[in-house]
Amino acid sequence: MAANSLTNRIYVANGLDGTVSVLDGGTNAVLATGQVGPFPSHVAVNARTNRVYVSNRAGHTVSVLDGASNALLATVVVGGIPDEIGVNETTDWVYAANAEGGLAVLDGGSNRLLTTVPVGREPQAIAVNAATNRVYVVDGGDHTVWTLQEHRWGPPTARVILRADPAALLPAEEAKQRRCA
Amino acid sequence: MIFLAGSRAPFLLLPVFRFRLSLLGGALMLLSVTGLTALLWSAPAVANSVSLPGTPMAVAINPATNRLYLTTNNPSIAVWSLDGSGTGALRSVTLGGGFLGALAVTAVTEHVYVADVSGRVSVLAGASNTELTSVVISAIAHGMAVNPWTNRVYVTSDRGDGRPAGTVVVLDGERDTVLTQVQIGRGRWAWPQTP
Repeated sequence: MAANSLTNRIYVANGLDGTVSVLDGGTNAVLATGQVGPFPSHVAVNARTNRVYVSNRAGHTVSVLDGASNALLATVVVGGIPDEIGVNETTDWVYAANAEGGLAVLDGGSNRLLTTVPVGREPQAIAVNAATNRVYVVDGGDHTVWTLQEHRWGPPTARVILRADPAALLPAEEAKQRRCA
Repeated sequence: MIFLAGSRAPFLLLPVFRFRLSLLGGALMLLSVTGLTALLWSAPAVANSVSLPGTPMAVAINPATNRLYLTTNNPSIAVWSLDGSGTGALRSVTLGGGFLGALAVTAVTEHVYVADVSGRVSVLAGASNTELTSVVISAIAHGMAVNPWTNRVYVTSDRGDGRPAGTVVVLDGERDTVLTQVQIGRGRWAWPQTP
């Protein structure tokens, strides 16, 4: 799910329905529900451009919605299992974590796949700091946290900043189940 | 080679050997180039490799303070204060709710909202790293979002009994109470099965 703080609209992915619902943050009423790809899992909003990005796990795609009209603008093939998604509102780059490994980088202006950055085996969570143009990715495969630095001249550079204490790790099966929360 | 000494065979083998040498040299060069590139492109911060107190789950950042919040498989949230170079200091704050999951942070009030598996949302004061209060939502959170301007916190969940039905719980960030619940769709997926 994601919230657009400027339009006060809340976007919720309905995985089992293959849809995204739009909530009015003022009245908490459902304004619209639109079809995206199969098994949408996460939503990200660029409040500056009023674009909504939805990762479709089973569709191997990212759906791009127009926040003003709620219309589906584009469907970008990223491959794998796109899961958590994040956007840098300043540079308009969109990041979709592939649960099978790697991070897809999309250009929000052209709705095109720019590159895929190899960050971990099972990246599962993303946080973007638009003030520093840094992206933080949790890799559930290797239990690490990566940082990516965006560049104007090319793909982002990535490195590991945190590693989980091996003694405190959750059993792999349980971690996999929990991850879906 | 020893057995063939004196015969023409070693000379015949020489070009092959030379080829093998050049292959080896080429492979070594390729390895060093790719190694250097890999080092430059994804150099792991060995000097700053700090251990997280468990399997990392979800992440959120407060861009104003440049603090990173991570939930792990234990009842504490890891707070990673970043400096300009992208490294920093780690500390963990214990929240009394068991296994933690989805989280969200708002830069306006500097509050961090963290959901746990017992169906609660803990409110952490980002400035002091202390737990202010907790809100019972009676649902297992999948995702969380916050509108900093309206100070509303949104939590998506399934019903919690395994049967699919999507719910959005709306929290008032000022009073830290549940405002309403909205039923949307059939849910993300039937907990705890994965598609």
